[in-house]
Amino acid sequence: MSLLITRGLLEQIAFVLLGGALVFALTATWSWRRQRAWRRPLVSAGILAAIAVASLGAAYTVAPNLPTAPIWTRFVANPVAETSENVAAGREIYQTKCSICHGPRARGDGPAAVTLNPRPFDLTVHVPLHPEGEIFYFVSEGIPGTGMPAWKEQLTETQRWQVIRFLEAFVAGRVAATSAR
Amino acid sequence: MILAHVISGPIDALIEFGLPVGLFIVLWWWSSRKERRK
Repeated sequence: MSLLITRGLLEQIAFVLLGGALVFALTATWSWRRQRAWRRPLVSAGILAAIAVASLGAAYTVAPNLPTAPIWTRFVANPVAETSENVAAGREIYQTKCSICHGPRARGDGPAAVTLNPRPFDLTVHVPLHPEGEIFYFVSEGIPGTGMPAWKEQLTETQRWQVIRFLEAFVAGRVAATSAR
Repeated sequence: MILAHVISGPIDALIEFGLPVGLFIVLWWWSSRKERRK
């Protein structure tokens, strides 16, 4: 298992650190006004702010700028059960809306793929690697700088989750890519 | 070239954000200790 630290991830970590620095800075101010010990909260604010700045520095120099979903998406589970109806519905939506770019077997080789730069992701690789919530986020919001559009206006939340159910089942080999077997 | 690949999940998220939060807790503990007077 390897962990890829992306620009977006470092930005999120820096945001958390800056939040902590702000809490310490406010604590230091509050302590100073009440003539209590204020140096250590101020030093703590400085430490957190310095690490946050270092994170941002790394984010914009060495970290790869890859699509990154917000951290909370990792904790979101698919509310749509893996039933044959949901998988069939997801398959139909996938083959209608997604396969033109991602390909009928989700390998990123649809008819429109050659026109896109970067090429569509091979979902047979990516779906098992990402939490469901991250995939849902990418489907819903699109991926800036790529041909992946935001589907939240065109597909309902349930439909987007059904597509993910289908992809998970298909990649795991539990269902066929098309309904005709 | 990026050889690593993303395997991201709730546990990774806890590690990545647990470290800043852990640091915050340690600093908070240190800040709330009584400073020695000169």
